Amino acid sequence: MITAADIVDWAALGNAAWEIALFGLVILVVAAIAVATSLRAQDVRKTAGGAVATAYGAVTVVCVAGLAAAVVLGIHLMTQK
Amino acid sequence: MTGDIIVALVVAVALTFDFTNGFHDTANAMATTIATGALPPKLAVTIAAILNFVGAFISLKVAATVAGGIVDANVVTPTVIYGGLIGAITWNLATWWFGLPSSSSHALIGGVVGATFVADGADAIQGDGILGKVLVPAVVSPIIAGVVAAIGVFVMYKIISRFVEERAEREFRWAQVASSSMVALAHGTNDAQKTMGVISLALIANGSIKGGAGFDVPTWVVVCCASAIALGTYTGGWRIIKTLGTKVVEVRPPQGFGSEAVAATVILVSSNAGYPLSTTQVVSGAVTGSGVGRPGAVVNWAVAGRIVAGWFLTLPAAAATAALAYLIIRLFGDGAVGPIVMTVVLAFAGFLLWQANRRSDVKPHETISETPSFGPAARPVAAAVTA
Repeated sequence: MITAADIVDWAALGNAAWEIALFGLVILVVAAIAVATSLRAQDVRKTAGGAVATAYGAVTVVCVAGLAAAVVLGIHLMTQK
Repeated sequence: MTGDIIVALVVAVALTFDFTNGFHDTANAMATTIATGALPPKLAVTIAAILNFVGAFISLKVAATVAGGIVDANVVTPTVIYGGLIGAITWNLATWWFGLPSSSSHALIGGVVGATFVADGADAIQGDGILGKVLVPAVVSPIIAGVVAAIGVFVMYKIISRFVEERAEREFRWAQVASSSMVALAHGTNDAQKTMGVISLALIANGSIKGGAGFDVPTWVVVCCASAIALGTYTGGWRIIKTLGTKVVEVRPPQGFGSEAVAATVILVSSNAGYPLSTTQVVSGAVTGSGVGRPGAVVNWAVAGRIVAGWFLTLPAAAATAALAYLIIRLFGDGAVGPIVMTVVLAFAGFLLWQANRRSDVKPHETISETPSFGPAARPVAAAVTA
């Protein structure tokens, strides 16, 4: 008798679920950090001065660059299907 | 000659399905972006249409493998494909009328399976393929999307909680547009190709083109399918956009970004792993999950339940409709008379639906949230920063 376990590759499915959770959460957290540091840079620029604001701004740039890389990777994956 | 007429009708009906696929699924990419006011409705559907058009040209591998693993391709005839398309179009139009975001892909698969069943029996249907490639991913993918979106959006709001909410939300505008655009592009690469595959199958079955190892999708098929899905997307399925953007949960920009980003991740990772998914189900799951994750948000579980009920009905309903359509076609014999009669009936039914829709249409501006974050009606932003 054929069971669902014979038809469905649960290991591959679990692996895909793990990758989705990892990539999905990282993308959302990185975006939130980008927004938080961007806002912090705007606020600090008014009070604490340039260096701290620049540091926050640099974190924002790194996060945005990471998100842009994720978009490029996504388009690359689409072309491989 | 008869075969050519039937194939011509299959192409026409397949492009009609592609058009309905477009306007049915516009909501997947743009419902949350429109709801928050990040983009005006017409601009949002224009961007989605362009990206669907471009996406259709990115890869053709899905088109080359469509229907493989679902039914026995050796017994499929243009008339069977025609019956399957009738089932899929009917279900797409019915769910659009009720504003339900259901899977166009599952409607197409259900339609082909239903028509094949009555034409060639159960042996022609590959149950293993349907379970492994369609049913299990259909159940698992929206759950994963919902859970990841719920956790992700909850963490996002924790990170930005030190700032005034409206101010932080506005920073997500372009991120939301980018994530929605990714979903639109992914939709073009997936769904337009399914119609290309169906048309190609009919052409192979008729002997118009050669199948096998060196199979190529004809350029005119690619261009026609890309244009049909883009035109459908541009038309905008406002009923479904309204349901997904405003009725399941009130969408705020971080939620909109979170749900679309998670949906894009689910689609791309799954496609890369070989699991063909329904974009609609993934996005619906992610939007609902994002509502669970946002502190203070209230998910309308009654609407979410109706959407899920629609998913369970999609395969059997499209299959039953396609089976009925095929049986009616067969009443007129093996020739082209049956498909011609059915096409006339479909066109007349479409005209009646269009007339009825004009009387109770959902207008684009009705798809925007009552409290959008962007645009003329946006909530004011407090200048102060919380400690």
